[in-house]
Formats: sequence, C-alpha cells, structure tokens
Amino acid sequence: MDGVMHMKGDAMHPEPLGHGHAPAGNLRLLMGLLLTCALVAAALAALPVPARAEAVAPTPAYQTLDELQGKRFAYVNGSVYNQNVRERLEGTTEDFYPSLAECVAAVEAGKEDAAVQLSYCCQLAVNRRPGTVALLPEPVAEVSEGFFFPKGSPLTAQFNELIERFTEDGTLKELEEKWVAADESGKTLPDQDWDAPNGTLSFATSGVIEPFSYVGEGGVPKGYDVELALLIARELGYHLEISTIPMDSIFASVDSGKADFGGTLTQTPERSSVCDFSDSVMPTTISVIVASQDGGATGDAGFLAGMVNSFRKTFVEEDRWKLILSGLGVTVLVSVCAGALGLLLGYGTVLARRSGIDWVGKLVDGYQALMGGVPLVVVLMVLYYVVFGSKDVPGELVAILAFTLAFGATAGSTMWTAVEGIDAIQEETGLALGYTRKEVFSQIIFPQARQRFTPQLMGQFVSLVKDTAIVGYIAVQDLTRASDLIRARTMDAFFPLIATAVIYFLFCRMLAWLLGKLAAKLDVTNRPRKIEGVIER
Amino acid sequence: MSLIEVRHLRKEYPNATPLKDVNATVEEGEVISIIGPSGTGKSTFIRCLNRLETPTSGQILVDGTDMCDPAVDLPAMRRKMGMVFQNYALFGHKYVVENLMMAPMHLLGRPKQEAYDRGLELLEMVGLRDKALNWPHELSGGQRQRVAIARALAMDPKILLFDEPTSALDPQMVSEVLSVITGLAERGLTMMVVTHEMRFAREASSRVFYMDRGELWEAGPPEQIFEHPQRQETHDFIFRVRSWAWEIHSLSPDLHAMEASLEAYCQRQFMGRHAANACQLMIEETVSNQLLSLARKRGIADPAIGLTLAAGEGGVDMVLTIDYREALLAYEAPAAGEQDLMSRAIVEALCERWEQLEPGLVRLYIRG
Repeated sequence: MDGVMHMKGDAMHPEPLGHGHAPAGNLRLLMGLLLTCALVAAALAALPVPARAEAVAPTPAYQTLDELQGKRFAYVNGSVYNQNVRERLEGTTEDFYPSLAECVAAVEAGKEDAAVQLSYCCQLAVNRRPGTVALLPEPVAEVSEGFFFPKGSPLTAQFNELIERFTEDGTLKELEEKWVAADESGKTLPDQDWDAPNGTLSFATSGVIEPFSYVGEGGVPKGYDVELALLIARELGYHLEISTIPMDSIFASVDSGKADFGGTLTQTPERSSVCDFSDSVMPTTISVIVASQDGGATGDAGFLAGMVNSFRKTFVEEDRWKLILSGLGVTVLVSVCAGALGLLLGYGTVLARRSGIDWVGKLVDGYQALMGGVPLVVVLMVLYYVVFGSKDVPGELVAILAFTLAFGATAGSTMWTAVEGIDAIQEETGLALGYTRKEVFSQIIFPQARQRFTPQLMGQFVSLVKDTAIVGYIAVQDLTRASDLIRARTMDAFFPLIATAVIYFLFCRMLAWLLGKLAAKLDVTNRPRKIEGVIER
Repeated sequence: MSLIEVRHLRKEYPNATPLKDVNATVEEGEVISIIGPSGTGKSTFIRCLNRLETPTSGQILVDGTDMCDPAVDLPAMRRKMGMVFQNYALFGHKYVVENLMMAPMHLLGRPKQEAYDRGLELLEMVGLRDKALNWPHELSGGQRQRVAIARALAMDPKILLFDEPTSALDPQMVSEVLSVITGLAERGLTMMVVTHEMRFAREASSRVFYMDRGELWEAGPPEQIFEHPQRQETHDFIFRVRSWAWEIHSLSPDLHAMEASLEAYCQRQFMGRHAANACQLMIEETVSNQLLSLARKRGIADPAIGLTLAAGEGGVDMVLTIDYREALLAYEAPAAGEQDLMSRAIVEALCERWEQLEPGLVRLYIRG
C-alpha cells in the first residue's frame, strides 16, 4: 500500500515529474490559511474536543456517492484518484492540497464537498476530527499500489518475488493488521541490525499518509510501506536510508536517481512509462470524506480545552516539538549560510561590474535577470533534480546553493544601485587625491554606498528567511515541512498552521530587531563625535 | 624648467573637440586664472593636467614627468597636484577632520596623530577649526568648499588645480571661498584656477589665460588681459562679461525680468546700491517714460530698442547705450506735446554727459 497518495501524473496531468500541482496547491493552501484566519470563530468551533471523541459515529451530510454529482472534490497533490471519481461521477470539480489534513480542513470549512483518499487514511482522519466530518459508507473504487523504481532497475523483479512470498506466507496480512490497529504501542519498526552485504538503498516516501507512511516520534518515518520496505531490504541484503519527500516531488526524486526506489503509489500508464512499478503491495479501496450533519458543535470542554488539546497534539505528543525545533534549525541554517554566501556573491557581482569589462557586466546582467525571472521554487527543483539529479548531494546543500544564488542576485543589484547612486565626482575626487581606482572603491565609494544599502539588505535577508519555506520540495525538513508532517498526523490544519505562522513571525521579528541593532552599529553616523586614537587639542 | 609644460594638447570626443591645440607653461609659484566663455574647454584643459581626462594627443610635463606616458605612476603624480572641484564632494561617511586625515594616512603613511594635528591646522587656516567634528552635510556650501580646499592641501601638493570652485555657490558664499584661495596665492603655492570671477582673476592671479573654442588665445598679466587685450577675441569677451545687454520688442515688455537681470549684473560688478539705482532709474526714464510711451502714442508694433550698459567694477565709468535705429522713423521729431519734460529733466540730472553717435544711437555717461 501505498502511499496513499498518489502522485500526480494522471491523465489530466501527464508530466512525468511530480511537481506539476505544486503552485496551485500552495496557492490553495494560502487561500485556505487566509480563509481559516477569516473564519476563526468557525474554525475554533471545529477544534477537536476530547470529550466527544467517544461519541456515536457521525452522520454524513451525504449518504451515497451519486448525491455528489457535480460537487467539489479535494485531492492530495499528485493523487490520481480523481480518475476513479470521474468514472463514477460527472461534472465534479477537482482541487489539490498538500496533504489529507488540508483536504479535511477544506471540507470542514465548506470550501469542498468531499475529500478522497485511501479508506484506511479516511477512517483515521474521521476518527481524529470527531463530529465535523464523516465517511461515506460506500467506497469509490478498489485500487492497488506498488513501489516504483528507475526504468530497468533489477530491484523490480527482486521486490516482486518477495512481495509474492510475503503475500503467500501471510506477512502482508500481519503488517496490515498491525498498522491499521487502534493500538499505537505496537507500531514500531525493526532495527536495521542485519548484515547488508549489498550496501544501502535510498527509499523516498511521502511521510504524510498515515498509516502507510508517516513520521512518528522524533520525526522518524514509519508505517506499513516503510516496514515492508525494510523487510524486503533485509531479505535482499541491503540497509535502507529513508527520506520523506513531499507528495508532488517523490516521483521526481526516483526518476532523477536521487532515490533508488519510492513508494508506494498507484500505478498508471503514464507513470509506468517513466518508472517501473512493483506488483501491488496491498489491494485496498478509496473512500470519500464529507461534512458531518452533526456539525462540529463545541462540546462541553469548550474553547480552551480544545486549544490545549490541539497544542498537546501539535507539540507534545511524540515529542513533536523536537520536529519543530529541528525544522527551525534547518530554516536558520539554510538562511544564515545562504545569507552570508549570498552577500559575498552579491559583492562579487558589484566588483565584476566595476571591472568595466563588457562581457563580465553582461554575464552579471544575465545572472540577475535569470534569478529575477524564474520562480525560486523552480530554481530549487531544477538544481536538485536536474543539475545534481544523479549526484548524491544533500538537499540542505542544494537549498543553500539555491538561496545563495537568489540572495546574491538581489543583494548584488541592491548594492550596485547604491554604488551607482554615489556621485561620480566622489570617484574623481579620490583619484585626484592620489588613490588608485581600487582604493577609491574600497575607501570612498563602497563605505558610502554601504550606508545606504544596509537597511535595505537587511529587509531582503528577512524576506529570504521566509522564502526558505519552500525547501520541503527537495526533501529538506525545515519548519514549514515539519508543520506539514505534523498536520498529516493530527489531521488538524488550523492549529499547526497558526503555530507555524507565529513561530515564523516571532523569529523574523527577532531577526529584524537583531539586524536593526547591527545596522545601528554599522551606521557611521551613530559614532561618537570624537576621533579615536588621537590626543585632542 | 617650468613646473608645468603643455605642448600641442588636443582632446577629441566622437562629437566634439573641446581642445584643439593648447600650448602653455606655468612656472613655480604662479597663480593662473583661466577665463573664457562657457563650454570652451577650460575644464577639460585643467582635467587633462592631472589626467582625469586622457588627451588625444600632445604632451603634458609636470615637474619634468610626462603625464601621458603609459608607464607614468598616475596616483603618485596626482598626490603632487591637488584638485578642487565645483561640487566639493566631501566624503559623507567621515567627519570633517577625517576628510583631511584619510588621504595623508592612506597614501603618505602619516601617523594618525600627525594627520589629525595637521588637519586641525588646515581647518584653522580656512576658518573652520570648530567644525572638525561635524558631518559634511551639516556645513553650508561655502564651508564645504573651504574644507575641500583644506583636504587638497593636506596632501602638501606642489600644485593646486581649481575647477570653477565658486560656480555652485550662492553669491554670498563666493567671497568666503575666494578669500581663502587668495590667501593661498599669497603663500606662494602654484595654482591654476578656472573661474568666472573676473575680479578674482584680475586681483589674485599673476597671469590670466584666455581660452575660447578649444584654444589658448591670449596669456598675460591681468592688466594686459583686462585693460589692453592683444586679441580681438579677448577684447570682445572682456567687454561682454563687463556689460549688460537687453532688447525690447514689445509695447508691454517684461520689465521685471529686465530689472532682475540688471540687478544681477550690478551685483556682479560690485557697483554698490547708489550706482545701481542710478542705472536703473536712467533706463526707466529713457525707455519706459520716453521711448515706449512715444511708441505707444504712435502705434508702433515693435519698438525695437536695444540697451547696453557697461560699467567698471565698483561703479566707475558707467555707460548706457541706447540703440533704436531699427525703428528710427517711428520716433522721429516728437512734437512738443509728446515729450515728458519731467522725465527729460531727470535724465539730464543723472547724466554726466551724453552723445549721439548717429541718428538712433545714443550714449549716456551716468554719474557715479
């Protein structure tokens, strides 16, 4: 089973790489966030209330699939279940979200009429959002999912052999029972204590499809898919290196060779033309989540208890605060490194322009135009999946490189504008005093330009910190990605998003404050009115 | 050997040739004023001397070194020749005294204390000792220009070049800067000053260069250039800068503009309130009350009156020339009733004497 979600690449979206839905998904997420904020009252009313958790099964707002003719459907990015729905219903609209949590939130908010996902996942979501959403009794279709491999990989046949054996000996059945059980305590993975004569395989999985692939305590990936992959690796004499990749990038990471195999996803003809799929690892069904007629009325526990519960689920359970903290650490690492290197690069472009060599200036023009004209998220993915596609370069390094290039371009043009703004007569004055052209720049032009561009650069750096929220696309687990993974577990879109917003906000304010202090220190006009190191007369 | 020798200096741009063929020598201790109409290569010339501009051809020898030699150490040569620009260009990120300390410390390796002491000394000299710890933007234009001069002096140059040092200043600040430069002249520093201030050129320089259309037309002591120019071009220029001209082609001319222009001229010539008023009154009476009123009575479309006022500095030798030859017939033979006798009396009182050079061309010598 798969991963529940399926990547994109369905008939409507035939591109082989997995990120086609990304921009639309992000936009929707943004709109969703805005709407959520606007409807705070409604959303608060919908907060999970522990007291109601054991209430009777909620009544769905729709009883049969046919009633959903022409309605609005929510899917996870990269999902191909819209094809299954289209076979049954006419005139439905389709929207794509980063994970099931957002799909459910959209249904709760009334923006969507239904959300579609593997039945096991749907059941879990409904359990976690008691009273607000319900499961349509009738499944939409049967589906089967498999691991996938780069074309021609010998692993495909080896995996198929083992999947067949595990099916026959009941291992798969055991796994299924273990991972869909209500009891969380038994859901652990075997240690990789076996010999691995054949080395290590890298395995890309989404991490947002409980119970198949999700992150548990400390952000460690687990689930049915993960354990099955481990069992197979043990039989084949490999160790596994498991990374979680956003739904809409997971296919690209295998296709580009970043990962040796991924999974699990629904097999489609388009996908089969790019990657080899294994046999089905668990036949299952997909279901539809709709709003509950009971409406999520606030329970006895009230607003405060709801908040406390959300806080507990988002931060405390399974030590999820560690995930948030390490995500923030990655955000800081990427932005600080990219900020420092970008400054150097930007300064380099200023020196290059100063050189006065025609082609060097054109090169800088081209570089800045390129960075100004291509969305950063695209630059990031091109670097990761194309330029370094076949090389084993950590995502963090690629992220630092991408943001260095981006910040270098903006910082460089900001500095150059300030340098150009210094009166040409300043340069002539310096030359006439006997400075060389280089000395004029370092002693006279640049220090004055610095006075002007420092505040602007600092604002741009704070922007850079916020922009790093996209590094999740290349499997880097930053603050935003940590929040994605947590939302996928708690099925609570509201609280983690707001919490993430608050953390970014506080961090950026603190950064702005620190930079403001630094700027004040760097501002020569704040110097005391005295000359250091001389005896005054 | 002369301190500066310029031979066949030529500078061409794709669409202009500001310097055609300039030859000049400057001896140590000389103060040279370079005068001439705007846009005739004066600035280009002085900027070629320290190679801020690269000449197209010709030779510039400074202290025996060929400035056009590709191997010349330009920064070292420029340290010997300070330059003051029209727009002072103080370094905005440094205090006033630091502006004076920077180059000596960086380029001459002077210890900080020494640079500081010398900086204060120079500020004292230009009268700005108590502005040492001000930011440049806190000073007036005239003060900034004096700092710029002190900054150039801090490098102990052998030669000081000035490129229109007072052109960007308000009139009341011009004299404070000129007096500093004059003070330097008295100390024996070699200086070359591109200027439009004729009084300075006349009083402070040892020689004057008259430049026009890319050439050095005449060089000589101020008395020669200002009193007995040898070349017609010099003569015309000197006359032009010393005189004021205005033409009236309407029955209701813009007298305010005319008065403002006349006022500016009088100030430039340091004529003083009394003399300026006399000129103003004279023009008012002759033009407004006599010629224009006659023209109106006779219905002339274009009064065609040309005025030229020439005056020496301080208001000596004021001569107003009125030229109405173009419309001569219209003004002829005024009848008794057409004359303003009161006005005529005033004119006569203001005049020392007058003469009619030809019909329609009158010269009035105004009492100082």
